Amino acid sequence: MGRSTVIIKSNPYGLILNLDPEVPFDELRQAVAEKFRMSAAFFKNARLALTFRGRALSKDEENTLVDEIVQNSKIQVICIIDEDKESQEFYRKALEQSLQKKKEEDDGHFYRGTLRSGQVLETETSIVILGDVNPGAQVVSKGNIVILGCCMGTIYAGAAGDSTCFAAALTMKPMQVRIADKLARSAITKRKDTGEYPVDPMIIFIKDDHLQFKPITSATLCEYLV
Amino acid sequence: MSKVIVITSGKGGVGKTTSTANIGAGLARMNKKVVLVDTDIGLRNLDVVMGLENRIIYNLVDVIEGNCRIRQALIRDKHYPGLYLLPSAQTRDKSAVSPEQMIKLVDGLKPLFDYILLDCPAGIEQGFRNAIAAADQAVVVTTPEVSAIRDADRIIGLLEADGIKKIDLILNRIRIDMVRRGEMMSTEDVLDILAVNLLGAVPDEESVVIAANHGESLIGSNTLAGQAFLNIARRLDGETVPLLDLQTSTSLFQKIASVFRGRESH
Repeated sequence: MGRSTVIIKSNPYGLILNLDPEVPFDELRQAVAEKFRMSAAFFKNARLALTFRGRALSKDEENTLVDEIVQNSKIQVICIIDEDKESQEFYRKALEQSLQKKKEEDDGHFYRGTLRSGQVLETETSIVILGDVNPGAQVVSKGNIVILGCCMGTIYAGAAGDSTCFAAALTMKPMQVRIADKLARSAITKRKDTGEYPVDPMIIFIKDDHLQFKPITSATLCEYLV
Repeated sequence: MSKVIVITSGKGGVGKTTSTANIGAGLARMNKKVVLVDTDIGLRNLDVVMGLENRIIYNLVDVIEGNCRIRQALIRDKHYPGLYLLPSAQTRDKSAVSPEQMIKLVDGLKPLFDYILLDCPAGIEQGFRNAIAAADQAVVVTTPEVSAIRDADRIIGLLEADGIKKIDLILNRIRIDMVRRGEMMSTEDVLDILAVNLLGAVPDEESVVIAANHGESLIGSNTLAGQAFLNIARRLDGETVPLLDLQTSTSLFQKIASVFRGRESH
């Protein structure tokens, strides 16, 4: 190779990849992988917008290259911008909107209403439920779970394996609780169970490899946050 | 060779699930290996009646879809080590399973158990079709009400059309005082209409509701209904047991006395 098949340039919001139009795609792919592997330390886990220049790419090829970049570095590609629409203003807006959206998603969602038996609420983020979770209903969240009501169903926080997640409810009488890879089932014996539960805010989290089931007090919160 | 028995009724609320749980406990008490399969996908109850709902991790649909192995989905009963439950899925519906898949599932259970009891959903649609697909014999549950008997008759016809030869009847919730006053059909009246083998008659008692609410079986309790279910289990296993005398089910003293009489007989 006389000259580089891939040249990385940057603008304030992202990267421009100058691609050689002649070489076979496979070779180009390897060159991209190589480049980003070498510069992984430089970019760290930057969030960037990306533009391909100098070569017409199909959607598949584009995705392959993005995969290659993500796999070989810690860069998060927020969006890809077509060359012909390019302007710095557009870059800025696209990036900021995506980041904004990402931030909102990270913060969690609200759900208003009661989950009844057989209903499943699955979220990628933390979830706050304004209502009850009835027996037979299920809440699965990759983040935390907060229930402003009575929790009598099955709840699963940190569903992607995050053991720092917690679950909290104003009344905590769940049938089953899972956080990451830990599971506990209710100790309610039906003979003594009246079905009427007073409000008694509880939080469940993992500590010392066990699920801790504690009232929400400043002491417990300190224990959890440490 | 394991027996595969579907417990069905057509009409809802006549006691299929209660009967399944109690017959299962009865058979397990006789040291049989028993699995109860809840085929009511989307409206599962058997786990609640048995008090095992908080132990469910995997269910029938998970097994069928290959998300887990069959042994992972089986839940052991609290009292009887030989009794297992295969719970149904609550978040799916009947269309998640086909009759062929049910047959395959039951074939997978056959080497593990002496008895496979299939708790059928109400109705005659897909859920019913799924439940009866794998069954060798059927137990039809009915109550002495005209509507329940009408449905039981229809179900017996459907079971016969499906090629199930052995069909037995459980007459549930019989109230002997009403029968005596001529306000309720007697066992004989019901058998005249349905013309199938009677497996047993179960009296209408508060204890049945209380036990179900507590997630316990009636087997081993000092109740006439518990005795009736145990007798049904024994008959299902091929023993010859005389029918319980329900005449005395009115006073507590007589209840206890009748239980003792029941004990003397075996």
